[in-house]
Amino acid sequence: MLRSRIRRLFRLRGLTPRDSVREVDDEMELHVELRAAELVRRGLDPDAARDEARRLFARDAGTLRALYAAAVERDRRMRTRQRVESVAQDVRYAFRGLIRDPGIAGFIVVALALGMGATVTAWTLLDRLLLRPPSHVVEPDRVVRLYGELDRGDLGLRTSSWIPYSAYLQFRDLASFESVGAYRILERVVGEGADARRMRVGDALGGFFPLLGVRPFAGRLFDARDDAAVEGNLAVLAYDLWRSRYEGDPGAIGRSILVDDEPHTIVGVAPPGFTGTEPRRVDVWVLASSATAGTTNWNIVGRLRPGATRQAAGAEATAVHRPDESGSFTWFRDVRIFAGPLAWGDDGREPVEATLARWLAAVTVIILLITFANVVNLLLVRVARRRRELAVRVALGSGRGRIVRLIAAEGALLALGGGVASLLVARLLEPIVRQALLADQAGWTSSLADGRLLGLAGAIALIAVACVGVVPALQAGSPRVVRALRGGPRAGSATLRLRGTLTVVQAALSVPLLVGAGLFLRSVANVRALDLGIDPEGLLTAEAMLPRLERFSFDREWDTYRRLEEAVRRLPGVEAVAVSIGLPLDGGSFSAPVWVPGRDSIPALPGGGPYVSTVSADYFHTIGTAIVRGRAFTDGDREGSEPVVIVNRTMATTLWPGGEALDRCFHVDHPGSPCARIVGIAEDVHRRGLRERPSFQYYLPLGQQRMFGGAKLVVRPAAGAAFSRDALRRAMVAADPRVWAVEVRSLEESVQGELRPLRIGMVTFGMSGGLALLVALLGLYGLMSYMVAGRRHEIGVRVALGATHGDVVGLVMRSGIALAAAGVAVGLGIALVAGPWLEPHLFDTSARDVTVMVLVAAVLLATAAVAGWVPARRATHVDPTEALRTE
Amino acid sequence: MSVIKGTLDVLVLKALSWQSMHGFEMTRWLEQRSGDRLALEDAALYQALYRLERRGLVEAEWGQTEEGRRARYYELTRAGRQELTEQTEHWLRYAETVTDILTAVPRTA
Repeated sequence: MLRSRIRRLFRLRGLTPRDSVREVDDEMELHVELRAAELVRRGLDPDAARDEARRLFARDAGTLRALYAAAVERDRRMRTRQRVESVAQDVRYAFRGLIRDPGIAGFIVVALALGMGATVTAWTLLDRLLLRPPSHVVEPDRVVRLYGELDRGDLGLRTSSWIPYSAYLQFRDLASFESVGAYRILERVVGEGADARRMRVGDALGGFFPLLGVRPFAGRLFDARDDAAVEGNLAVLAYDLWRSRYEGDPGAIGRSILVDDEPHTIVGVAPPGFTGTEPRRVDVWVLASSATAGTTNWNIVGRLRPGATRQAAGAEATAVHRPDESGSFTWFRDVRIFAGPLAWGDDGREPVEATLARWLAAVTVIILLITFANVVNLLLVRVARRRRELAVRVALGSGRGRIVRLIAAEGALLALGGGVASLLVARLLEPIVRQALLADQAGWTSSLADGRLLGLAGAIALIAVACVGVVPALQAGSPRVVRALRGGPRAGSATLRLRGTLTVVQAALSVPLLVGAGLFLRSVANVRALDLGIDPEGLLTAEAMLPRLERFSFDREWDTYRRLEEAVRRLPGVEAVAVSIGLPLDGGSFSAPVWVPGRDSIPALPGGGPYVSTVSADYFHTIGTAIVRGRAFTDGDREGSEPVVIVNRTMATTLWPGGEALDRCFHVDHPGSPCARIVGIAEDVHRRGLRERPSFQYYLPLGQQRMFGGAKLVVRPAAGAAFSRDALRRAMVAADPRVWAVEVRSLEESVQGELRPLRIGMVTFGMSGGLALLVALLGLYGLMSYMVAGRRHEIGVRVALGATHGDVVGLVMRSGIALAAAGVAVGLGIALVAGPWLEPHLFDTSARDVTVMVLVAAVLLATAAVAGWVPARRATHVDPTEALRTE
Repeated sequence: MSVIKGTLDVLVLKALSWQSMHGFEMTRWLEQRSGDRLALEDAALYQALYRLERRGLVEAEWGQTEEGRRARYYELTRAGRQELTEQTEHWLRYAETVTDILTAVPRTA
């Protein structure tokens, strides 16, 4: 049935080679007969004439065969030409038809473009995160990473990719593996002086590169012999670093590079895009030295032998594993070892981004399919609306097939237009999604430059052509629709109900997605409005790398940092600078107990602590923490002066309720220490991040604390000043010759980093929600149009009975909005039920936020109004006499 | 006299430039015009027709002869007419050149 329809669609009927041969025979027969008749007239007897005529026609069978072949070839060629011409004509007609109705055509193209573009983007992500193996790894399917898993009873499973070096030695000879390698990636300071930067440095044992099968871009990589040799420290540069730092100079090989102040000899350059087995970039690879080999934070990768399985490898490793009796890494004693594919993260699971991408890919595909369904419906509505034109064509002799092909051509044109436009959409979406989900992925290439993904886009476009072109055409070709073309569409109530349900489902689908987007948006806004107690905007921290010995002397560290502080203060563009040991939002917090005279103990607060920062005089001004009472430190608060302290508001109000905290004193660290007098009360500060619970915080002046070292500078550049981090580095290196490197970080960026999960949520929900909304709009519009077309008669009667334009618009729009409202109700129900699942990922926002829900409902109803408006307007143009006459 | 290779096509086009005809009519036309001097296998004519049809230079349609017999009638297309003009010019120039060469009298010193 379908086959015959498709055959008809493409006019496959027609001459077959057998027909060609028969035609030649007919032609020949006439020729021979006429020739024979002529010969008879000249006097030959009929039989002889006939033979002679045959001989004159063709002397041998070869000639005849050539003749037949020529006819077959001719017919084949002509059929093709005819088909091409007829398709070209269909396309021309279809194009003209679409141009006449640019609104709908544009709308469909945009809907398809967004649907397909989003799908391609989602699949690009999925490909990036899950499907694409790491670059330059030979047969990556056979390379696995080992994980340790410990069942801690009530505490749950603990899974980690950190494996001690001693275990690596045990796993080296497993039967499941061809070879085993180990690496770890650490942040270390690379370079010297003002040029030094913290970079991602891969420690690799010599066997790591040969296991992966990676080839050097230049020079050589490490191999197993290097492990044994005592050549000293070796380094391999990442291609990007080699280009940026050494301008791609081949002479870089053989030179020395400082990694954590230790010289390493550069032996080679890794190929472009090589990141080891993990997706994040690695700037430098160094050969793991024997000094670090005894540590516990190794990642073990193995190349499975052909036929070996991950399960078998894990079981074997677990069986072989003998806990290291020295017991320095206790949790690893009783672990079960398992092997995971390279796409998994450090926690032995698929990365959350990958799960999100998988989810997004699934949602976009569903939405895309619904889009196709809606576009198909819309095209059928167009058919119904144009039934007069089509009926005229049928009357003028256009076959049914012709009309079917016309519709197919329209669909195909729209799908192709959408396909081309979708590339543009993918191009626009890509940077957004990339920034949200793949901030630190190396070697990203645009999907548009990737042959496979371009192929995927092409395949999706083809499917679109098939869905949007062929399906409505088949539908239109069915006798039912042809009958409808004659009589006008009278939608059966069952069809309408089905379509109504579909529309409600679509609206309902978009609601929870939009609610999700709204909730994440609200969370981001809440974060923006959050008072952290400091002003992180533009704020930099700078840490000077000093020879180790300098670090161990408190006095020397204070001296050095006071000098650095002075040097930076003189820099143009610096508004304020201070020294601090223990910074908020900086990863490390120091805590030290306090003893308050007259109190047995102090209450433990949920935020932990008490936290202590040791700061120079200008600290509060620099970091932007308000002193709510009393004073800040001055240069007079230092070694040898009266012990003083500043406490935070929480500490002041909790320990000295009634506001008498000022001038009280407490002992820091141990009860025998001198009692430090409270000279000021500071605003509470977020120490750990965005989610902060109350804690005691107090500040000591630089020089009055000998518990913790690790000073940093806090630098606030003047607003609008051209101030570069490089200038800061140079000034610090110049101020003290012992500073061998300076690490500059932005506190603002660490706050931004915490926004990332919220951004991811916003982007994924926003993208899918927006798409779903568009689809719902499309669906409603199609349904409304269909309804208007189907109810022309009824509307005509109403108009004849005196209904005004307003009545007609109201009639149509009411039913559209009613459907949307049903969808909103169902959708909000889903959103409410699913809310608790989302809530932990939000910030200070209830998953049942009323504002968001109301807004989403309003948006959806407004969309429904827009979708209903055009068909409603069209309904007012129904001419009662005409509508009644078509019966 | 046999037909020079490649000239049959243009002869067929010429025949059809007078009126549309079926295969045998064309044969008769060529025989009469040449005074029966051209020796031509009938099948070759049909092959030429199919070739021209394939190139879109002639079109064919089944019709009826005056005697009521079913016959395939050939007609010149616009492209065929154009081709005939070009090929005729080409042939004339060619024939002139060849004639000039062949009839040149050797110059005696």
